[in-house]
Amino acid sequence: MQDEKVFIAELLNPKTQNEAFQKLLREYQKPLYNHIRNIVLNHDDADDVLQNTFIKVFQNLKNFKGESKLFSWMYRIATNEAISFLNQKAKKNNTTSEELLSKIVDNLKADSYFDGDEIQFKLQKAIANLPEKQQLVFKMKYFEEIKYEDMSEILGTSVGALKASYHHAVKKIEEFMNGN
Amino acid sequence: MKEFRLDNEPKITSGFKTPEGYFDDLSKKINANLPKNEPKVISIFQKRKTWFYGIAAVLAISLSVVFYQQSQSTETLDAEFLENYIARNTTVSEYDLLELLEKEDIEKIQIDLDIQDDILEETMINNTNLEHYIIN
Repeated sequence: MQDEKVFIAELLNPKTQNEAFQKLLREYQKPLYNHIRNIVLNHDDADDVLQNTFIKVFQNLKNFKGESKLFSWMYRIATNEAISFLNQKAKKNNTTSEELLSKIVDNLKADSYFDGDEIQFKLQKAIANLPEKQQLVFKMKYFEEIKYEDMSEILGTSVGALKASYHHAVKKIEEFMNGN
Repeated sequence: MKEFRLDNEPKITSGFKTPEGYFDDLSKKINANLPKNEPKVISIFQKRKTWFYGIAAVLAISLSVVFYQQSQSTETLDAEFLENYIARNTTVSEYDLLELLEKEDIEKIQIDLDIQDDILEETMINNTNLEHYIIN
């Protein structure tokens, strides 16, 4: 915690800000990319959202109060940016974000940046059938292995509700996998 | 067929991959798009702006006072100003004016003028076009 306070101070100090931000970029670009990619599915979209996320992080550093961990705050920004992106894309296509994701998943085998086998493809289809919040919780727990306590900070949902959500998601996925 | 149980299966990854060298160039792209820090000159400019508007306001008030005062005093000048303006710029001749005047008005002008004889004699001597006026 003390290390994080020191790092945050470096991020806020104009003299040390640039170097500290480069360190932040190096440390978080891959995990945040993976988080965003899991939500938006497409690489180019993930690239756009990731860049916007880091720019927003940079612009809002002065507003970071330290009430949550730095990484939770950044993941929250990334999650909001990804979901907003999907909603805007769905609106442009006169559809819902769930329908949009289903469509993207159906075309995954044609995506040059998806090299999953049949079971990986089937799992993506199963996830796309879930309600939006359950999809997010499942991906964060199963693919990214984020702890429930950290997920609670990021999503603003209680640990109990998150555990229930994950449990329901797993049940529906297993039904889908066994039925298809 | 074996029932699918997520916990019993080996970890299934997402299947997503990234382009070669994507993360190597990412920092450069993000840094290029970061907002630049504006120098503190902006606050000085804003102070200067305040001064400018203040001075402009004082000038506007001063000028409006001057114009108001001028407009009060133009009443006394108006008649003389207008008379001179008309005399300089008119295309109407004295003969045209005489035609417009009534006989009573012309007699009144003669009485008001009250020209003395010596002044009249001097005028007649100096005016070389006198014959023209007598004949016409």
